[in-house]
Amino acid sequence: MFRLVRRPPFPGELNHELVWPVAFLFGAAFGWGWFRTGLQLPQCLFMELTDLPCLGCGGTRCAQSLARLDFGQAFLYHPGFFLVVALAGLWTVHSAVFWLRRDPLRLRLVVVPERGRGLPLAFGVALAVHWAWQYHYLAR
Amino acid sequence: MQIHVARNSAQLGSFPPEEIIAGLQSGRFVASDLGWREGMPNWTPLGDWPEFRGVGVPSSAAAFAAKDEASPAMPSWERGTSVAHYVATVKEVAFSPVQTFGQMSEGGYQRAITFLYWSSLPAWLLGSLLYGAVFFAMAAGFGGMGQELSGTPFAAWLAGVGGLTAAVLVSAGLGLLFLLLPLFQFVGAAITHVLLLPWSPAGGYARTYRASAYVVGVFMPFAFIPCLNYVAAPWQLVVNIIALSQVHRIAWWKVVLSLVVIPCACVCGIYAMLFAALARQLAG
Repeated sequence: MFRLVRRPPFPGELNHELVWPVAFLFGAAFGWGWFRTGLQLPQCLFMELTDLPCLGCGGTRCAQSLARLDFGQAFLYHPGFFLVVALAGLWTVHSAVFWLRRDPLRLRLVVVPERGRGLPLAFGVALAVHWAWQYHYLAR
Repeated sequence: MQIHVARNSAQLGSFPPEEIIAGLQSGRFVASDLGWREGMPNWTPLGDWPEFRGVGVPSSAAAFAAKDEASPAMPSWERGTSVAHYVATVKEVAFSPVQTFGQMSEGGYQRAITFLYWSSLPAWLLGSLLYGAVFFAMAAGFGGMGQELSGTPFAAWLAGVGGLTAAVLVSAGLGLLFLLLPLFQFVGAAITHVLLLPWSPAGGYARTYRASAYVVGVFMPFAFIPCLNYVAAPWQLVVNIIALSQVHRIAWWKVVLSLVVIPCACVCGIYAMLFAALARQLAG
């Protein structure tokens, strides 16, 4: 479905090795600062109305666990958010190595066209599985 | 072996050579599009590839000239950065989104970013001052504001620095955040693009970024005008859906599904927070 390719940048291409690490580091600093203030988010409206977790439920607790470096608990609270943060962290490390090495080739994820048709189904299944896990873990 | 194709700042995808030949003949690709495959040191215009010369494709130089004579770039800001171009862009995006984004030219990020900056500057300044005033009011305890925060480190900080200092710091901080506006837009467009990926969008991330940046740039000033913001918000949503539907050739209901339904399910906690804050303000 996806394939990693190392290739030269084309003219005008977004500098993914700069933009996303900056966004990740800024977001991490903001999150850490936010939790330091002691401010809390209110209860989820969807949860209050339906007694079911929404797709974002557990995200804040996941971020708080990450801020405490409790990775196992963070994964249990919200696997999707954990995965996004983990991938962003990995990309930041990769970018740091890229800048240090002054690598002329860029690492890019490419959708393989003939296998890309399964994407909507895979996306839907992933959301359903994630929701089922949230229901199992958060609505205990 | 697959050939990767890019046009200006956007990667169009990877295709087998036969599909590129068919695309060059049908007009889907042009000779000035850049191609690259594994083993090549750099991207090269498709018109300069030996295997594509015999299929009736003009040279890349001729293709560049023909492209310049084609239909004018949309929106107007892509053709110039004067006040007239700005006003024309606002009209095009707000009132003719189907035509504007249906013909949106391929291009880099620079024009879209400058439009976003210039269009958002007055609104951002106003917003910074407004939030500064809110923090000042919270520190002074006007109308019971900020009571629910008592006992938190934030309330202690607010009491320590005083209302005026907090207001200045918040205004200055928000002013500095303005410089990062394109970064927020990069993140927002990335989330949008990921949500659109299941529908196989026709263009790459650059198209999503550019379309979203123009829509946000046009509507952000309205967000700070009382009463008009209630009209502008749903209008912006509709224009955004049309824009993404047009630039990526995706049915509008699929964009709605990706842009409204899934994010609503994901961030209803944020909506709840906004509604709760509004309700508290009204009750106070």
